[in-house]
Amino acid sequence: MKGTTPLIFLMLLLCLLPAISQAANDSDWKIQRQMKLPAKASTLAYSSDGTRLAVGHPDGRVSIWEVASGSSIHVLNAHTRKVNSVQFILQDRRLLTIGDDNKARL
Amino acid sequence: MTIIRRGYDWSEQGTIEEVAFSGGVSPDGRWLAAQDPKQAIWLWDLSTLKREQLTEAGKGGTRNITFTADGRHVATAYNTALLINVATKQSIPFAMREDKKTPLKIEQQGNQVAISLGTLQDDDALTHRVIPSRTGSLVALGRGWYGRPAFVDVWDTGSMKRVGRFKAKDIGTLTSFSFDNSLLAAEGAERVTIWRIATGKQAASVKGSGIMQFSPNAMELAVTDENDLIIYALKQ
Repeated sequence: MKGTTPLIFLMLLLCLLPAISQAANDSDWKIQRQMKLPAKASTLAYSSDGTRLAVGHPDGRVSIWEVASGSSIHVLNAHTRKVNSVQFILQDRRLLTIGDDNKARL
Repeated sequence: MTIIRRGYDWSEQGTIEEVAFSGGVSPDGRWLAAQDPKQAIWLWDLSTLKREQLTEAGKGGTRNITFTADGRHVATAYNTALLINVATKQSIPFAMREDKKTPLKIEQQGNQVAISLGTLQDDDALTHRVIPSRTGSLVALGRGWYGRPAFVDVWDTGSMKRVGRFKAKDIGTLTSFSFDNSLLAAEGAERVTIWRIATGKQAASVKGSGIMQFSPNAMELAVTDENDLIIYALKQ
């Protein structure tokens, strides 16, 4: 009986190794900032310099965020239906959005 | 109406009608590639808002249309993945099936017909999204049969060979490459999964219920979870 205890312990450790390893990896990613959106998101995109985020919503709105401060810069009433795609273009000077209302807006 | 706030000018510069589903802009910001409601892909010149046709109508709705980093191809998926050469308008399909046998087997004995579905192979699965990396050297194909677990194939566009297949519980087909091409993230029902591309090993999974994207210049991942927008950063 005594001889089986280390074996059981070793088997338990082997079973738990992937979970322990995974937990260690997950802890490398930390929440830096958390913002409250005006609605659920249907799409999102970073600006090319990584300082801003545009988030499209199912109600047609697009919210624009400053990543460093976590503050909302603006909310656009871009579409009458769900926003499918947002993209910063021309060195982030313009924002292109596409919605389920069959329109692309620049 | 012009709205100016915090130094940004959010006035509308133009509207393009008859754009459906999704679209992507070329790296130089000149062209928009997008589908019309009849499911043909067009290129719109964003300075003149005039258009030219890239593919015929009726290929089926696509969830993503994205330019590659060099602007020479449009990556999209109509159940199979395609790279469309913008200049020649020729489509380059990815070689998915190699020499696999069809999973369907039909046998007839007298007036009775038996249809055996067999086992569906991963290489017969549909491709729903094609996401190029920022350098354009890799593309991620979000694949799977409807109602079955999805998986992601990463292809090298130079050699046109698959460099890895990534699977995790409850993942979807939306993916994002880190700016240095070292990591791949995939959406999930409750968590976003992150893999190291070189090793194929899972690096992490973080809380988030779908839409996500890596930052273009930092080890940072934006993830949405219900009404929250969460920015994760890799601890150095």
